[in-house]
Parts: sequence; C-alpha cells; structure tokens
Amino acid sequence: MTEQQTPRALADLVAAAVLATRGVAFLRPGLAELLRSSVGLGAGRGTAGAAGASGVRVQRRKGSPGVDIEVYVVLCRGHRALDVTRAVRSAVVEALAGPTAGEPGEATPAQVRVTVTGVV
Amino acid sequence: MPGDRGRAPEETDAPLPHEDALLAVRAAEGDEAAFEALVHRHAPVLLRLATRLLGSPTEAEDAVQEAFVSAWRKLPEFRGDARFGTWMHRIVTNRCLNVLRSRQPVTALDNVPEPQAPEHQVSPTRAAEAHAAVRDLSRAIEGLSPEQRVCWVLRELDGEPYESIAETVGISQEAVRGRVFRARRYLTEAMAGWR
Amino acid sequence: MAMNEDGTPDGTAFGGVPEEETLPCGRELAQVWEQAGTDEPDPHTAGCPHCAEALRALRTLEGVVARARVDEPEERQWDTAALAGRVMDVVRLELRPGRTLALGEDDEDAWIVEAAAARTFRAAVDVLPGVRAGSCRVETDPMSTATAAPSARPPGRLPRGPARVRIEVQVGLSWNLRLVADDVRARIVEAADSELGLRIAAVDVVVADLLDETGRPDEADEEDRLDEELDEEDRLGEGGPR
Repeated sequence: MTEQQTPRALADLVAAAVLATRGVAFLRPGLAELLRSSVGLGAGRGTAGAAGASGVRVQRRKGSPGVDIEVYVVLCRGHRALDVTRAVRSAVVEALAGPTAGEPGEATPAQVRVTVTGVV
Repeated sequence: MPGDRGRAPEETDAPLPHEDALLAVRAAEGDEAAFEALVHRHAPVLLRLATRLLGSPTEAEDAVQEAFVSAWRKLPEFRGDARFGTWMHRIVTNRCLNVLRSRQPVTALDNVPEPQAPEHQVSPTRAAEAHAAVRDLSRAIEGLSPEQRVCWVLRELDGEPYESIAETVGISQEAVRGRVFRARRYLTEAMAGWR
Repeated sequence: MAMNEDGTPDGTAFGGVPEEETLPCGRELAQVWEQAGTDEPDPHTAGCPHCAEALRALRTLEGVVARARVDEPEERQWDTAALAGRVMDVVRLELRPGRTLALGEDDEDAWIVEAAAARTFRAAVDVLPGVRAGSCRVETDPMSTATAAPSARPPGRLPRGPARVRIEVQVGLSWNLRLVADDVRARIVEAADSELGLRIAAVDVVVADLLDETGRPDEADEEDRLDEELDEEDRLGEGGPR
C-alpha cells in the first residue's frame, strides 16, 4: 500500500472498476457526501475533500496498511444481484492490485463491502 | 402510466385515485420509479395551482419541486387517509403561503387602491381590452395579504368549497369566508374602472 | 411579517376594507355576494339599486377572472419533464433509512437494500394477469435466525439468513385467490433466486384489494375483504444461492 495514493485517488480507481462491471447501471450518486451531512435541496454535490467518488467510500484502517472500501451500486435489471456484487468485488480487488494502485506488484489489502441500492 | 390529462381542470385528483394509492404505497417503501410516476401524474395540476397562488411560473416551479421533495421525505408517514392528490395539493398550498409571507410587500396596503382606468380606452379591440383587464387583475392580486390571496385563489380560481379550503389552510370556514370577502372587496374596487 | 393576519382576531379591518360592510339599503355586502353565488332568488336584491351596483362590481370581477382562466396555459402545456427530472435528481440523492439484507454466503460482504429487493418482487408479481403488487416488505426470517449465533454486522443491516417476504396484492374479482397466491409466491421465489440471489424462507401473500373488470376496487366488498389475509405461508426448503 502506498502512501502516495490518496483515498480520493483510490476511490476514483475503484469507481472506474465498478462502473466497468457488467450489470452495474451507475454508482449511487452522491452517497459519500450524503453520509457526512444531511442534505437539503441543491446541497451535497461537489463537496471538496470528500474521500470518495460518488457511491464509493474509502477509509484507511487505523494502525494497519489496509483500506475499507464501501461501494454502493444501482444495477441494471436482468442481471442477478448476487453475481454482480461478486463481479464488482473481483473488479475492485483486481484494480487495487494493478500497477496504478501502488508499488509494482504490491496489492492493497482491502475489505470490500458491496451494497445494491437500486435496480433500474 | 395510464395518466389521463384531458380531465376537467378543477379535479385535483388523478382520474384513477386507486392507481395513485398503489403508487403511493410503493413510493412510501422507497420505490423511486413509483414516485416518479406520481410526479408526472400530478405535476401539471400542481404547477397551475402554484402559478395561480404565486403569480409567477418560475416561482411556482420551485414551490412544486420543493413540495414534491418534501412529500418524498414524508411519504413513509402518509397513511393514505387522504388521496395523494389532495395531500399534495395541501403541501403545495402551504408551501406557496410561506413563499407569499416571505415576500416583501410590494404594494402599499393601507388603502384600497384607486380604481384604475383601463389603459386601452382609445378604440381598443375587445381582445386587447380583456388582456389588459387580466393584467390589471394580476397586479391587483399582488395587493392582497398572503392569506387573503390563498383563500381567494382556491375559492375563485380553483372553485373549491369553503370547507376544503379551511382544511387545507388550517383555519375555520368562517375565517376563510372573511378572507374571501375582503379579497373580493379589494379586487372589485381595484377593477372598478372596468365596469 | 407585518401583514400576516394569522393570530389576530378576524374583526380587524385590513387594508381599509372593513370586515362587514352594510349597503345603504341595509343589506350586508358579504351576504349579497354570497347569495349571488347560490342562485337563490331574492325579491329585495332584484329591485334594489344598491344591491344591483354591488352585484355589478362582483360580475365585473368574475368576468375578468373567467378571462384570466381562459388565458392560462392548457394543463398539458406545462413542462413537467424538466420539473420531474429535478425532483428525481434530489430524490435519488436522498438516503431513506431502511433495512438492508445480506446477499450470498457468510463470508461475503454483499448487501441489498430492502427497497430494491421489494421493487424486484413487485415487478415479478405485476406480470401475472389481473394482479398488481402494493406493499412489499422483506426481512430476515426471524425463525431462521433465532438459533443462529449473532454475527457482527454493520449498523442498520439485518442478520444473515433466508428472507421472509410479505406482499400485498390487488387481485381481479374473477380470479381464484388461492391459485393467485400460489402464483405470487412462485414468482417471488423464482425472482429471488434468478434476479437477486436471495434465499427465501417464507412468502406471506395478503390480498389487500379486489378489483373489478375496470381495474377499480370493488367498493361493495372491499370493507369485508380488506383484512382477509391469505396467509398461506410456506416454509420453503433451504435453497442456497446458486
């Protein structure tokens, strides 16, 4: 794991991997921001410094090199939810193991939680 | 959605209230698509109501939008005692009442306005004259208090019975009658030039 | 705001308009106007110049009001698409507090919110002829988890275990309720497996409304049958996820 990778950058990496997964319609918009504050009309968008793209939340673990990743996805109807969550998990793990994720050949230990928030 | 838009203008409720009830139950349980269908079904009537109450289509859109968002938040408590359309009608009306109350008074309200002379007295066409009268009416309505305005619009433009206005606004029927009367009194004076 | 009338007694004059106004003939103006709206003939008003003048003023106003209504855009001309889009943008951002169900095996950290599962089940049931799904609640079956050791789970998430579904349906009058309930149950079990990967312990089917041929509730029978619950719960086998 990689001190040079900010949680924000990791979140963007994860988001790209999730969105490329078959059966994922989109990431739950704005959820990372929403978790921080209640939202009114027009608020909640584009919060600066949020450690996550919309629908992805990345938190470093205290005292260990790993990260906790939460992914909130809306699925396309016609894809089995459980299968998609498994594919999402694989995609995230793979993305974190890739060369852009940190030191070459060094995977980021991550706990990945996938939550389906909708089906469209 | 089996929405029928060709109904009489004063019907606030959609033609299939039962369909509304079903959609409302679904939306209350977090079904966004069901709520979207309700928005499409009820937005036209509510936009017209809000435009009548506020006099500005732009402000009306904002009010209706906020009313729907607030309805979405409150839906889990919506027990279906009232019809969804009636419930929305009430939320929009109260939203508009608050908007009117927060406005700065634009007219001096101490006096009944002087009768306004029609602007097109020199051989106006009937259509132009009618148009000018409507414009004068809109201007005169701005002189009403928020409460008078809401009661008068619901009574005279929406054709609602006093009873349901009282329920919507949360005041007694007598208070509604008093406000409608004073609004009429004010507006007949303002429109005296058109007699 | 100063002009707010609420909270003040209604007798207060507002804007120079008195609460009551008596015409020179002794009639109350408010009453004359009210009566004009009821079409009740009044011999006095018919012959009184003061009342006639008051009514003329009202008719003038009503004429302009009628014209204003004609000038309004037709209902269908309102642009509701943009409005609905903005409303739904906000709605989709909202976090509805709700239950979240576990998907997959114990060592998987995969979840689905109850609303998404319910929506899938409603859609599965809606394809049955003469059936519309209403309320649909999904939770972990308490009987299946009663003996299980409590496992650590994030707040707001239900314990792992097969789910119990309670669904309310509107059914056409002519349908055999027992068969419909069986069909509804089968559709849900099938959708839970093929579309979600959620194990089902039981499905409770509640007939909430009987609809006549027009799709409207059968008013006469509704009262009696509203509470009729076809609680034909089946304990289903423990079918694991595929």
